[in-house]
Amino acid sequence: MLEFWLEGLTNLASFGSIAALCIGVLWGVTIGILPGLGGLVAIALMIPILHEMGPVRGSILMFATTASVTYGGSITAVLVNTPGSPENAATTFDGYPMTKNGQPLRALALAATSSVIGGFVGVVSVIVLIPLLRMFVMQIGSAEYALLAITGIAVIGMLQAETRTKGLLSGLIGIILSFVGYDPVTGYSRFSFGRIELMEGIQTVPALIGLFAVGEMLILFKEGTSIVQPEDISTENSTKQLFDGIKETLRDIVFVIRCALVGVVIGIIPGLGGSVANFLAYGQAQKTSKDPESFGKGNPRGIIAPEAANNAKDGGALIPTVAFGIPGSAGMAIILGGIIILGFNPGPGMLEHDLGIIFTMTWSLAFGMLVAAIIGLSAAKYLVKLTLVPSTFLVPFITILCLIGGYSVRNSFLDLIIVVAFGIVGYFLKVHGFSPASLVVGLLLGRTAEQNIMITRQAYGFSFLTRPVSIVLIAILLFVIFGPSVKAQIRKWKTR
Amino acid sequence: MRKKLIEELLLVSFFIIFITVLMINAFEFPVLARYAPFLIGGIALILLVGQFFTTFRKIKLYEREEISQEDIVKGLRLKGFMALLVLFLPATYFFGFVPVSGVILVIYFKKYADLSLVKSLLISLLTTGLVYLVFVVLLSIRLPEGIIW
Repeated sequence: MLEFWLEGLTNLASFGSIAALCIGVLWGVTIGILPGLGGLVAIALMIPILHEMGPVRGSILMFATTASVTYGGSITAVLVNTPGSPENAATTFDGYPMTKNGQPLRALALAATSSVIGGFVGVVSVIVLIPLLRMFVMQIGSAEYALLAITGIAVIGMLQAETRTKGLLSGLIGIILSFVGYDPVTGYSRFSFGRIELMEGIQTVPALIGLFAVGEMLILFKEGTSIVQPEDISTENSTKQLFDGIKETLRDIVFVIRCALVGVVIGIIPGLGGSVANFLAYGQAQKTSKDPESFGKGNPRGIIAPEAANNAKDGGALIPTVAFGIPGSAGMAIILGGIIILGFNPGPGMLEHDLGIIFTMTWSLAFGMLVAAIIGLSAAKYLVKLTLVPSTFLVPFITILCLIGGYSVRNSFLDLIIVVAFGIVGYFLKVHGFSPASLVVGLLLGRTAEQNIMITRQAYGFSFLTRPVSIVLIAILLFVIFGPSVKAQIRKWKTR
Repeated sequence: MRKKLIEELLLVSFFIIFITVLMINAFEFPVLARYAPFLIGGIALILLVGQFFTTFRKIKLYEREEISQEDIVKGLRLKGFMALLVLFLPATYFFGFVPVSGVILVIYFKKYADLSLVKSLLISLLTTGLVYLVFVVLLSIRLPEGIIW
């Protein structure tokens, strides 16, 4: 195993490979910053040139891009509350408030450092887990998918709302909206009112862009000021602020690794979608925190958790993609196509014959992340200036980017309507203490939960309760739901 | 506060009507496709009605208040911007994204940024040109097309 591991590393040690890595990173960060244009667009646009680059450099280019797209999205999520892709949505919850508190550099440093550590945890997971994983993935059926989705909803269904009822209501409205389109069991088109575009359901990306980015732009426009007032932001000690952010993350290394492992697990499970990882990690961080009220107000752990998870999930998602030919997400499906174009045959055969190149891919993910973070942190001082632009000038440009990002997902005019409609609804939800985050979680997981509950009911009845993975997941679910109350009760008893 | 609560009441009412319409529509679904919408929609409706009365009771606690001139101006600005956003949709459908975003930007800069017509035209032209260059030419992303472009 060690020789393949080293082969993967040495493949990166040439001028051509380093150049491919840097080009991939620059491309990824640039696309990542643009709202809506996530990894799918970045990889899809480079597919035509992959073939010309050969298997090693092509792999490096593709995976460096994948790694840096997610990081690029965190920059705008932190600075202007505009997640580059769904993977960065949870980063806005505390990243943007920290920016508004006058500490954008600290927020960027926290995001960058946790992203790098998350990326490396993903790589180590690939190295350790590839031999063990085949057995585990085969154990995951509809019951486990349903339980995972319910856990996701339970963990994060009540995020960032003024009251529990408002949080729950936001989540329920999200779940109802996830029912739009073909019913996964009967194939009947629900709530589409005869519109063909609605039969595919409400797409997450335009909804997310509308709720978070356009909604925030409306708030910013109403206030008529810049995101941060120049007097509130200290750029004098910018290097110190950056190092403080880095040190803070390193001091919390166990927590970072824990969140990264959440990302790895979500990444490994095919079809659950990487966008769930950041919400789950954030929800976990909040639930297990001694100070949950500080989340949503600029808590550093609220930035570390989603960023560590969303960068680690790429490593996790790589495992089923290359080892079994099962892509973990839409992004990985395109990567799977790219791997085939490069001349490989994903599946157990690739594990046997091309293990060296698999490790090149994983190293590219980790080093791509590292280079992206270095570039991001070097440019942080200048990127922060974006938050000082008066809202009157910032709002129209970001809004146009949001509209393009929403439309480009599937070139549908309906998505443009969704961006605007969700933007206006997102504004009112936020102003009145509801939770746009819970709405997105409901939208993301509602359909998965329903589909798998129906399949489980028909396939297993109640016998799914005897499946080993189900038992573990039920235990986690119970811990998630009742854990904090039990902890609080124990603390009460102790103080008595 | 009273104004904010009235706005909240309107938002909750909007959701009650929205979910009721969806649930009425759900009666047309096959039995298996109905379970989840009825269950989730039912819970949401109960909570929404509860929220409606909670907000309604709160409104009664507050007296009618004077709204400051600054708040009126801010509110009008926001409504104007929302109207521009909504107007953008049918205009784009008929005339295309590139020309409409150009025109909307001119109106925006003239009205909200207090720029002269020449400056507004110049910034809008530059922005639209840049958007076209980056997204259509470099990234080969299709933008909504209409009868003009």
